[in-house]
Amino acid sequence: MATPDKSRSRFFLIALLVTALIIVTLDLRGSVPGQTFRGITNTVLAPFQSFFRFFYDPISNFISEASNLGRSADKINELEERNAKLEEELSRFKVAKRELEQLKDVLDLAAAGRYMSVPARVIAAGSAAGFSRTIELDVGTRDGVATDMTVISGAGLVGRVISVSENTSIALLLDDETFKAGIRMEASGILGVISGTGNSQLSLTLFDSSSELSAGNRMVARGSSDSRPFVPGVPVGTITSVDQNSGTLTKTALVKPFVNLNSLEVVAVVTGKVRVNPRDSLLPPAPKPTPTPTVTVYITPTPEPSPTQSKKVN
Amino acid sequence: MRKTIFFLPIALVALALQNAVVARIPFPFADPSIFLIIVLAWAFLEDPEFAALQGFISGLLLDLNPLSVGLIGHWAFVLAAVCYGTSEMGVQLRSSRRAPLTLTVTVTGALLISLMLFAITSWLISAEQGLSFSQTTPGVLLWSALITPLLSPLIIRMSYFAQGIGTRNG
Repeated sequence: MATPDKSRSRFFLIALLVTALIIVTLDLRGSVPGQTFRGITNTVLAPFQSFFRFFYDPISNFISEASNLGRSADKINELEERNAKLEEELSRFKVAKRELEQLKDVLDLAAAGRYMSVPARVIAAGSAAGFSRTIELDVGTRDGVATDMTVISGAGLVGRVISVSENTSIALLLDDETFKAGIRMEASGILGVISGTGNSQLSLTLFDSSSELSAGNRMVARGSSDSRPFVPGVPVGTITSVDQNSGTLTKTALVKPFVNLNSLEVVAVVTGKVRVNPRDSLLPPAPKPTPTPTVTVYITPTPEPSPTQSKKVN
Repeated sequence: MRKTIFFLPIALVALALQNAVVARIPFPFADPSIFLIIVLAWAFLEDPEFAALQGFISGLLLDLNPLSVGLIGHWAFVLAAVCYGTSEMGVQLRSSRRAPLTLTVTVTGALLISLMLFAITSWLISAEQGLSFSQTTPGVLLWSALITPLLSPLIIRMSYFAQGIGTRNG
């Protein structure tokens, strides 16, 4: 038989579980202002996160730079002793340069597509234990960012904004399994849908099973009405393999995204409506096919001796 | 009350550390969840009633994490139940609950049960998940088994300080 203390703690647990279930039910029905509460949590967490980043970023940058030096440990030690300050400055400069290059790339893409955009830094990433692929950006409603806006990097589509607070926003990455976006194949214009798989590749579904697909085909975002959540023309990825199963109503393939989603530092949020569809113009230049060496053999027939000639000789 | 006041800022700091640092390091397989390790280890050292409350508060914090996209109350439900069970186990193992190996095995097991319960309840309420159970769990468990022994002395000290008892007598 349970002691009074045990009964009380069990009753308390049941009360907590029922409370949690009520909250879940209310959230399922849309009665909980989740974004407001998450905004409050974000405001509380922001100073702590800034504090940790203050220490983590220089360490991360230093490790990154040290691994790139490619020199012997002794040489590195000697350099560290002599030029600690100089190396730190160099490290900062390189990080700044890398970020500047990423910023230039993303602004170039936005300019080429005539997208009105706001550049943003990635300040945090969602944990795998949270069962989602999200990133936190340092731009929010103050910068004109709203939910369901396209997030791009210099290489192409990154994801879409799913929640916004005054100073920050959260974006769902395109490899999240809940992510879906309409696409249009380069040149052919065939329409389809890509969805995240939780892995490094995306899944492509074409509605027309008779469409011709092959590895190397590239695609761009089809775009949504009023350019939200997706603006048209943003490069998405390249087909790596096609499912050849026939007899289905749709055709599927695996797609490698243009963007490396594990090393995002600088991105941009497209805040304005797109008036001119850039179509395929934002895709990077197509890779040139490797020339296959061909061997040409010329055969010259040797003239056979004619019977008349033979007689003359004999 | 003293324990709640002491635990809440630690949970907030752990979550901020998780968001700003741990999740940004490209760990193989999946990133470890420092937050869940601290919450479950702490629950193991507490009495069941407080462990349930602490699990509920931590779960709510995880639900309200700005980087979370799930239903609010989902993690609160899971962690309240798992923390209560973990604490019950801690009560049974009172004499050896402070041993790093016991703590590591319990926390890793509790983490597995938490993730399983979360996945099962997600399936029951048809909540969509961005990463599947198989993609997440092996990596999280591996890192939990490696990191818990390193964190356990600190967690034990903090927990006993919050409870107002000396670490030598605990």
